[in-house]
Amino acid sequence: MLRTLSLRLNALGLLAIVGVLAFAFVDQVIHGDLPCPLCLLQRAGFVLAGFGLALNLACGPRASHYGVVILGAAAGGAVALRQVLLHIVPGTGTYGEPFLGLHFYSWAALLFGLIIVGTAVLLLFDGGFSRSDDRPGGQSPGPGRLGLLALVLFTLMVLANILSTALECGIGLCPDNPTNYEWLAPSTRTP
Amino acid sequence: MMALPFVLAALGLGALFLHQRGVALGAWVLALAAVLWLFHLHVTDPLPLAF
Repeated sequence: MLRTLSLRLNALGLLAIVGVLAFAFVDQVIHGDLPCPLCLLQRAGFVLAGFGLALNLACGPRASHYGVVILGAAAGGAVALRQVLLHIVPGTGTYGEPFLGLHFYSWAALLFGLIIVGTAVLLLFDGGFSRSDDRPGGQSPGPGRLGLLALVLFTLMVLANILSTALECGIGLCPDNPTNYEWLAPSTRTP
Repeated sequence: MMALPFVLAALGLGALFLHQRGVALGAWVLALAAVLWLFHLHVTDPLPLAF
């Protein structure tokens, strides 16, 4: 029972991460805000954290998979906090437009913290790792429809990030303040 | 190069769909290392702090 609930919560968590990545894409496409290198690494941090949830959905909940989530969120959080520090002094400028009063990197720092706390709470319930829900033969109940949907959407979002990042940065490093897509001409935005 | 973490994560997800958990975890470790390495390359700007 708890294992099934745990899988559902993992699916919802993965869908939330898909939502975050999708929102960043909407901002990039509609408002023309090109993600900076640190912004891209924060997206990668969400992908790394979501990977642990995907592991839970595909292979069944394990403590090691939650470790993957926490390490991914810690890496992404470090990047987000670094960017917050870059702009923490008044008058030193910001990157991108604020959303609900906070810039995306501030939201990212908060969300990474939330992911770590949420994962720690899930780790408190030992029943989530119980194999009592397994089918005869030790087969895991599987991710379910919601989990499968989350897995597919998450994979699509990762593929979209590969395309977007390659278009923006090409095969090298991104400039600190990107103004156009490297592989697209002419420039999509003036400095 | 910035797409590397996403490429590695995609490879890991592909391995997950093929039920290759070990390969998926290996790809994730490489993706994490790529993020940390790229972060190292982009973290050299001095902080604009003044006291």
